[in-house]
Amino acid sequence: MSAEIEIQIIAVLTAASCAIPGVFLVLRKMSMVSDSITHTILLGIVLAFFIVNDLSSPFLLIGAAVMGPVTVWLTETLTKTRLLSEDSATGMVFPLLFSIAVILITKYAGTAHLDTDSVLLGELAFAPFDRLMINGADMGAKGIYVSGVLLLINIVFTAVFYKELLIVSFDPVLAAVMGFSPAILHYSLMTTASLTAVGAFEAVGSVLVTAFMIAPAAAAYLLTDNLKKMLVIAVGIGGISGILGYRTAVFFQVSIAGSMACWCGIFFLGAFMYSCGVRKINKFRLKTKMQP
Amino acid sequence: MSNTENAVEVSRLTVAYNSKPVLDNVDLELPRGMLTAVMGPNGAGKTTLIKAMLGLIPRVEGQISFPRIDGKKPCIGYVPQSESIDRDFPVSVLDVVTMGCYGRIGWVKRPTRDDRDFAMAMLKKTGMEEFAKRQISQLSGGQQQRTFIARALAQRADVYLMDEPFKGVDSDTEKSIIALLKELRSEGKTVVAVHHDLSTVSDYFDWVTLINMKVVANGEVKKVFTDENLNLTYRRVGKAGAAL
Repeated sequence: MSAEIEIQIIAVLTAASCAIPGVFLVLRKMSMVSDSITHTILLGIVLAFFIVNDLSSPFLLIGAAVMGPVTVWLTETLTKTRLLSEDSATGMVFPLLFSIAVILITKYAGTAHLDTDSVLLGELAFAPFDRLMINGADMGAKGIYVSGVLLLINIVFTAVFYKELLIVSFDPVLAAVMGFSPAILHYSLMTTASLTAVGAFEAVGSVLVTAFMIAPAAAAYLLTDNLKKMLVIAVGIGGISGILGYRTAVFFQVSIAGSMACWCGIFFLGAFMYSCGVRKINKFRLKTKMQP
Repeated sequence: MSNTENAVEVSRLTVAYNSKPVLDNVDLELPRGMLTAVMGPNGAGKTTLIKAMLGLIPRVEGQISFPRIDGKKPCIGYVPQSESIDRDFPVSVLDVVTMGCYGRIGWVKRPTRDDRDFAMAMLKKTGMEEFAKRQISQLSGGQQQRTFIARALAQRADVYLMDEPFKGVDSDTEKSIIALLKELRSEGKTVVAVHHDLSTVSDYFDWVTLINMKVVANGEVKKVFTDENLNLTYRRVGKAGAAL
């Protein structure tokens, strides 16, 4: 398989898996939580790295997956004191945890292959160099497997708990009355979102993961009234942005992650203009109908 | 002490937000098979009482119990205050009503065709079947409330707790909702609803609970819905307001 195709496969799988938790974050009006999580999981990765001293250890994933819900919990605990609003609490917690991570990296991990640039921006172009070797045989780029597994986790989680995610997002009170604990589902969702962010973060860096989680979901939200369709459209927009982003980046010789995020933005703009147009037409129809 | 004729028993319930009491030492017994109105001025703790009954908010003190019916734990149904719902959520009317069945279905399993048919039947009952495929933002306030009543019916609950079921609905809808509630009563179900309109209490409800942080009166409408009790319930806030 050529490096080009491998990069595109990773891009599509990553963008598609980000879009799934993104849909629920958008519906629960928690978009900025994704920004928060994608930064603080770095602290989870760094702490796990100090324990195992191996950058390719799966423990790094676990560290990150734990740090996401911890971030949310810290933010909610601060909010519950009612001494500061939720957005201020978010603004306090994630820069704090993120900055600790940045300091730890620059201070102690300077010699290891864990530098701030690759963490912040990721580097998809180098992904094909990291091979998965089994008994000396080359099984392809490791990134394909990581992003594939993450997409699978997201699809399975959403398919199995679709009903629960729907009711908890739409009416948490009824969900609680019926015994579907909003807290359990909330933190499960935060855990899968964090896991997804870790995978995505190797490919596109922590700054742009938010774009892949939120933009496709927000665009899909404007295009449909049906949650299942919204999930499919969001995944589709994410995937197509992955391919178009790569092609554009090669053509203009610019950052792959940057152009992928741009395509997500372009799709959102398209959806936005479409839904503005539909709204205008509906209004016009209503007016002409009302005239005698 | 548990009386089998009661649907809900509340004892010594105290709830506080930020150490400011909202409900103070509330003792309450609501009878089974009746329509009960919970009334009181704004900030009297009506919604808090409903939420406490649902076990959704931490209590400082007190007990809430739903006595068993024929040895079985009663199923509790709930109708939310209409403005607490996100109207733009991508769900159809039928999706919303099917949610009423989720409690019976349990974790992970999916709603079956039977569940959806049952939800459809409940929509028919509330006169909403033609709107089944609509997204909820495309409904009027009255139609939305009918949808949530249909969802409550789909829960097949024994005790229904409703937070202002008549808020923002037209008079036709109000009449049809009360007809449905009376039908529930004839099936032996209990309905506890937060209510505001003093003029309709005697027509709609059998039992009334007047609260203002504490229980002012609790009993049959004929007996306790008196000017004296109403003055006690509604005037107290006036005094507190003046003190502020």
